[in-house]
Amino acid sequence: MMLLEHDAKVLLAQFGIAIPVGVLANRSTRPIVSFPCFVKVQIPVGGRGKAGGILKANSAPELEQALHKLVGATVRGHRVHECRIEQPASGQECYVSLMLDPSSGKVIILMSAEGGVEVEQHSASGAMLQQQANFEPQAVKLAAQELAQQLPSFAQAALTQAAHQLCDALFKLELTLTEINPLFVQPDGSWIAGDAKLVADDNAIERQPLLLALLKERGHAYPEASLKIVHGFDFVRLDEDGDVGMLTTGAGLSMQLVDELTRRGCKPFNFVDIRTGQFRGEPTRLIQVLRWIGEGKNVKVILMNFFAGVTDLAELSRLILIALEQTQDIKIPIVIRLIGNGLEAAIQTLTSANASLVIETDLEEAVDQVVALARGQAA
Amino acid sequence: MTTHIFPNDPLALLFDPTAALPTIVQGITGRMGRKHAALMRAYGTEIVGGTAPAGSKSADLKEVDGAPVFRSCAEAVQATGAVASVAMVPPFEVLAAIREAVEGGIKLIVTVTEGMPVADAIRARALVQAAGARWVGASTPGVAVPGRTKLGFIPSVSLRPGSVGVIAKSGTLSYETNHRLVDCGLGQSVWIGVGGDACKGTRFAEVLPFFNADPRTKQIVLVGEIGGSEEEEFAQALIDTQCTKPTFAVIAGHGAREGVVMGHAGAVVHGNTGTFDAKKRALEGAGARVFASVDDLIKAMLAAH
Repeated sequence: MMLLEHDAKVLLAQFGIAIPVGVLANRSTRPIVSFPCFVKVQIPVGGRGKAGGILKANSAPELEQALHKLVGATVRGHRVHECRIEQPASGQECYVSLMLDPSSGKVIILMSAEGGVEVEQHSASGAMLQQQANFEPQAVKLAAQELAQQLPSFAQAALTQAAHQLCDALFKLELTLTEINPLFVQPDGSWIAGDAKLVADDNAIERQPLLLALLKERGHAYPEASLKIVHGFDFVRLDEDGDVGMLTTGAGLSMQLVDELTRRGCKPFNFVDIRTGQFRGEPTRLIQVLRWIGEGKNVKVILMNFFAGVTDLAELSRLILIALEQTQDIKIPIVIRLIGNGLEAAIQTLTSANASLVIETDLEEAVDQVVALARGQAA
Repeated sequence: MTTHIFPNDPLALLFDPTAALPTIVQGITGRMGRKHAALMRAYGTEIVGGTAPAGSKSADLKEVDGAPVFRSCAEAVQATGAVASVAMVPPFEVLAAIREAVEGGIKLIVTVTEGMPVADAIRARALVQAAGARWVGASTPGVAVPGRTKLGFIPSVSLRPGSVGVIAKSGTLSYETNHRLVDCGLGQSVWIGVGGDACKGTRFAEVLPFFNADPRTKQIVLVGEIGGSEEEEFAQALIDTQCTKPTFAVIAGHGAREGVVMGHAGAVVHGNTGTFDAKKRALEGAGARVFASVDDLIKAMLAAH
């Protein structure tokens, strides 16, 4: 889970990192701020400035105008719900990041005295210093200290301190990436984080009290991560105007089906990995996902796909019928593709109880049916 | 034959048809452990016992469906000569299970659990390497040598002895791909599900030297996913090992948005790394063929057969 800049900064402040004064604003809130200030969209992706997601406001009307323009807009593919309004910061732009390298199991430390939005070009020109360290706080801090010695003298102390504080955050919060860019170094050597990027390990959140508290308080800003904590499976809204609802199991196959449908001109409404192995005889997840799909105003067909390696399809088909019974208000055609254990019994159960279901055993044919229905053609 | 090439890597046990593979299930008294111990045994896996965590309510069980239950892996290894284990324990207990297995003398450890924290995975990988053992996982349906053994829960309907070496991140997409393969009369030499996490015990590229040296493996199928750099590392390994076995790949997640996790912890694109295009370019540059769909991959394999 990539934290929004605002949340990343609030967390980093707890590790001693200086951040510019800033507040969140959405469509309805109008916090009191001083001018000039920057209005920054809060989306989980970089390159916001270049995409027009950061505006300067010199007065209250300009702030109003900026918020009006940004909140509700789509920047780099993400709908903007909130902006951080922040006091300007300045100084020499530096760069520091620590990240886990899954292939080596080490921590990679990057530092540069030439940070900012053009950091990638600078790193190509050799200004980016890099060092690896074993996955232990002391090793990371020592390596960071040594690396900083190679920087111009104005940046050495600031980047050493910043790296040490990021290291504490990395280990305590189980982050996979921490980055400050730009890190503004002032003439007196003091420094402040202009931007902050933190990526948390989704699998560790449940043992991280600060991250759990964040999700509890600001769950709306992290819908997918919150949903996974509450419901125990993944559901991602891909396209609010999507025409195909997905009720599928398995991350890889579900991703592949999203790709396949997209390639064939459909717009999947959602991604889901419902995990039939965790149903334990309850239709709850099926009902929940059908309800969410039902919220899609443009969904014309639902694709259910179950490859039952272990699950018994006869049992699953019984749960599907209960779920459909309880979601009768959702009147969207359904194509079900089943394969695996107990196939004959499952087909028997489904066809005898609900004649309107389109049942397939071949995935290609099921996808053909879905594409036809999404285009408004009879299956 | 292949065991002589990499005698010290326990992965070689899967490639040596004459090697015995006595296996224990860690967590055999749990709901999952018991069910899958039975399914594995039905497939032909030599299940010689299992362990129950000390202090659990089933810790004093003596046996589960005829398999003896031990207090620790060390005890199980001593009593049964087990060399492999399949751990079926909750996510935050996987690291401890791996440590116990390694310290007890297990050589090949498969952990199927989804949701293992990255920090735990890094520590697990380090301790497994230090002990000269081999860990496959986490978040994998496991490994299989069709007709001989399976460690984990790869569905039997997708298994058939044959000549295709399979490596996969995703469970379901690999079930689908291999089910189609089996339907078309093909089968697998060895199937290794490396799992969908970013940090893991065994990466795609580490398996390639075995496929390359294994006389029974004639083609390779890679079931990849966006995120991370494993497909790119595998492409480099194809070049480094001068592998000439035809390699077919399918990569899921073409349409994923940057920064959004799609079910698998490893499947997330940040910036320009881990994208579908980068993986496709790297693999094709190394001579592999990359397909957008399972159907296209199967058709190409049949045409080449």
